[in-house]
Amino acid sequence: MNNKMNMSRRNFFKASAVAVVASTLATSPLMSGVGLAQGGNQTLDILNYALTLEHLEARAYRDVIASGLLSGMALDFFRTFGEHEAAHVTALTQTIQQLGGTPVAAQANYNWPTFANQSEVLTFFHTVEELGAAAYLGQAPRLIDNDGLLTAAVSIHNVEAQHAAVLADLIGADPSPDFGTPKTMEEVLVVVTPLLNANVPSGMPQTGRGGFLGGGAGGPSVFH
Amino acid sequence: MDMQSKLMELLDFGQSRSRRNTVAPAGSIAARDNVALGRAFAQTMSDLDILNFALTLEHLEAEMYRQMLATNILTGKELTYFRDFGAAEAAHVTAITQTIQQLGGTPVAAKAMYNFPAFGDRGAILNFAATVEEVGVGAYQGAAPAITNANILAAAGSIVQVEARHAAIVRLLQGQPPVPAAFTPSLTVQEVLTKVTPILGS
Repeated sequence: MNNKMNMSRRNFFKASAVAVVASTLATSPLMSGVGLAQGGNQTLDILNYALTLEHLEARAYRDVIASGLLSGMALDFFRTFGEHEAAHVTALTQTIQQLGGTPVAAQANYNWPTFANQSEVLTFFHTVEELGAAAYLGQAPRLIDNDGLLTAAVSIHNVEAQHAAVLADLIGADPSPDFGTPKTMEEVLVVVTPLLNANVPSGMPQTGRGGFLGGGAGGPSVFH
Repeated sequence: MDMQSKLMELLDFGQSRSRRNTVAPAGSIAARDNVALGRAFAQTMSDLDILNFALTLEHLEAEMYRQMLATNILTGKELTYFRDFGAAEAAHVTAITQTIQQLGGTPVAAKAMYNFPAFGDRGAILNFAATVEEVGVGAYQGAAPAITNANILAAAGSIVQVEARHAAIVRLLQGQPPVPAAFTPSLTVQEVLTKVTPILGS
């Protein structure tokens, strides 16, 4: 394989995809102010919710790649998947800014579990990617009135599901159900709040903070 | 009238309509944007049209996997995956058929024959499955903004995710990058028809 070529191809995809999302948004009714009155805040809440998850994912990939726990094909995949999440962060950040909102920032630190080996890493990321796909699927119908945002959300959702499928293959799990299952914001935040190590953005359900603040040996069983 | 003819008719209608109704200032992004045109076309399809469009693709996929499995060429993990994927497509056929019936529509039937290439070896099977699954992803994603019913949109989302997973896993089996980009591309209805009409035949 030619790494240089792969890299430039990836960068091309990343740049062009961001441009596609941006140009899609430029033609959406929201950009001309139409529709903001009936759902602007909800739309921004959804986008910042997605951005919160993408920041978490992008940082998770970055941190685990730096840990040196991964090697071989898994490491290659993690580098690529991490770039995808970073591209999602960029696209969502720009979109929120174009809509006049304030993009939520990445946190300084996240509460990652302790990983002993590659297998534990793969299992954790499989869970996170499944959660990401379910989170986008849960929000997509709420974007029904905005063609551009809906298309972008479906597109990102597909990529999260593809990451989950590949990670499932690597750990010997089922890569694909017959139908994807959505999760609500509340369901997702219960799982991610312990990882966030801080407040969730305003406008998002606060469910789950209690579990984190309560501390102890608990935490969502999905990570154990 | 079969689905293909109906779509072709809609396509003509959609293009003239979009030219008339989406008059944009000269040089604006919308005026030059094929994506916007494609979307405008898709907006002329009703939810039932879109469901039958999806069902047309699901019939094709279900039959494709059935014929691929009938060759007995695949083994091991690949065989397991293709059985699962074929079962998923069959489940999509059932779900969409029932949805169309519940909405009072008439579900399109599967074709008696499809013009599939020869599934003579593992490479040919994986290659064709990857291509068809990618079309499925692009078709659902491209049609999603035209769906007006939130429940149907949610169902389409839960199916497109599965098509996307299938595409990634087949590429993985091929030794290709399984997730080649950060965003999956949309296809317009016209682009989908261009790709699938040779398979659907007359």
